[in-house]
Amino acid sequence: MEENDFYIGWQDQAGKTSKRRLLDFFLVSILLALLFLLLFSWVEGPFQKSTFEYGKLTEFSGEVIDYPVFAIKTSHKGEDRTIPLVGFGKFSANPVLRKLKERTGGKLSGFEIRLRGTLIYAHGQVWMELTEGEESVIAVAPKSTVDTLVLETSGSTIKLTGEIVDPKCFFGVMNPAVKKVHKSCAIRCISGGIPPILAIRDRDGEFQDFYFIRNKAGQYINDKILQYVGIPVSLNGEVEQVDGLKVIKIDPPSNQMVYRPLLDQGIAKCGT
Amino acid sequence: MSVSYRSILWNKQKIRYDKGLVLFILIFLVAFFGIHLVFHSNVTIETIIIRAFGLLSLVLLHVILTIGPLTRINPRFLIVLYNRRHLGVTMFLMALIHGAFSMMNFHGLGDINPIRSIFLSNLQYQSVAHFPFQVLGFFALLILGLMAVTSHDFWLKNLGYKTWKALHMMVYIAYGLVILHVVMGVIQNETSIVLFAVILTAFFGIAMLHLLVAVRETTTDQQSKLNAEWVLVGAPEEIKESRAKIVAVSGERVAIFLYQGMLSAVNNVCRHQGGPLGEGKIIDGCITCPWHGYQYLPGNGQSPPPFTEKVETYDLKLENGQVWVNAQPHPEGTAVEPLKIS
Ligand code: FES
Repeated sequence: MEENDFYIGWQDQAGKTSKRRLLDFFLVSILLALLFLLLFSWVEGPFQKSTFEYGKLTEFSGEVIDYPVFAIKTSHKGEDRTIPLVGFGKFSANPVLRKLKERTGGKLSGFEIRLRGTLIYAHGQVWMELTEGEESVIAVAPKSTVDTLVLETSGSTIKLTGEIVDPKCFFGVMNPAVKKVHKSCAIRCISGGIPPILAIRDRDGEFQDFYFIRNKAGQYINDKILQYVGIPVSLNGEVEQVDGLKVIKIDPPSNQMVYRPLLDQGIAKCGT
Repeated sequence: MSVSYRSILWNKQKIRYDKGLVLFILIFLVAFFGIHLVFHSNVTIETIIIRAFGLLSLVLLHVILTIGPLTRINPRFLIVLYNRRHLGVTMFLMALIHGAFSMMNFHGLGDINPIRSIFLSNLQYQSVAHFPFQVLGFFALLILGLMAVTSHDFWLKNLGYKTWKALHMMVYIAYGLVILHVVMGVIQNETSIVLFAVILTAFFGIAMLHLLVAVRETTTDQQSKLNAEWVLVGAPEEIKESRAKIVAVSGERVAIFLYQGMLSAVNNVCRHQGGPLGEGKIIDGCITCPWHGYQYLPGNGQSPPPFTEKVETYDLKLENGQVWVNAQPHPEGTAVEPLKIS
């Protein structure tokens, strides 16, 4: 090192060699950092297309159902659709459903409901967040015709393999919303009442089939499946279809003590 | 500048250093956002923020951990070291943005408090593959935060050098947690082996650098095992004017400085942050620490008034053209007659 090139922190100017060394260090660091960045960007993903229309509210009119999920049967972009509804944050829209039932005397069919919320869509599915809570219900009016639900049941037990996801994040609020990095978030959403879904990939790795998860009696079992979220799972159960929405009914665990062995009959974990 | 602790004030060189740091961050973030907006346009902005700041803090942490051993191997890099604490605090702020966004996104607006959620959402603590990796990141951030908050010399003075140093050595624990956080989280999520290989290479690179320095310094310290009363330093010609030679004596490193035909020996450890005084230089008659410029008089190991730092001094003798240092140190700040060699 040059004799006069001993730099001390409080000196205003560093010697030429020191300055040069600092510049070299900066250039090498930024070069390596950018290389790492490129490599990371190249290997991450792929990310599937999904949308959350944050800040934009959309209104729909139609009949509301509560099985297999709280949803509104309506028309969206000229297509008849059943749009499932979720609450703000990591919560279900059940408080809105309860309030609605209070107004309709417990019945849902035979009423034309007008709702406002934020659209979430991906993989050909459309969901809606009731962003304003109870304020999302704009109008409730009786209607003359009553829709009938089309129910189809498989009648036999089949095995489906996929990943249990929370549909709110999965269909657009977050991206990516699968696998380990999103596991805790999905657990919180499902714990908050958002209906869990088994998302199944096709041969190309694209998600193409979705099943609501219920017990044999058709009830929610969110709290029983939390630790199976975000990992590959196989579910054994009966499949039914309600108005185009698919449900897999798996063995219900009766209490916490027998939860694991019982659940393991219904859910086989892969890759653990 | 106060007598109880010295803060190094802003100066042109320091501003230049910080401008470089800001430029580094800007280049990295602009590149990250640009690449993602063009090639991964489906990703949400929250994901881009979380990943950009996570990756940036990971890179900065590696830069920080490289500087220390690099300066020991080649003192030309000392210029990079002296403003390292700004680098450290900045790295923590980047990690904090990553952590705060992750917490708000993944754990906020839920049925339990976000901090509880970090610990209680994924409960597979027994599994390597499914381990709740965010917990590791949380603890790493806590350590880095503690270090950032106490990085000012005020804390160094108030906690005492040993406690402060021990606290700041926790950067290695934080680094271990960060590596596990990254390997068990992001990398397990992505299928490519390339990322895993890069992180492992970086980890081994940092480990090897530290190991190299440790081996070099252990070799220097070998002599300390000899419990002789006098330890050989060597011929005075081995030492350059205004510079020192470091020898190990009874488990301590001693710096023997040559200046104006005289030799003086002081303990090698600077009382500021433990910088190696023997790698410093005598400027305006004072031994000047290479790390942040604290100064000591070679004759008595005391910082010039009004400062109060003191280091131990040692007796020297000349025999048959060879310099020897006495293994027994004098108390800190004791005046010792310099050894005249010409
Ligand atoms: S360690 Fe900071 S001046 Fe010596």
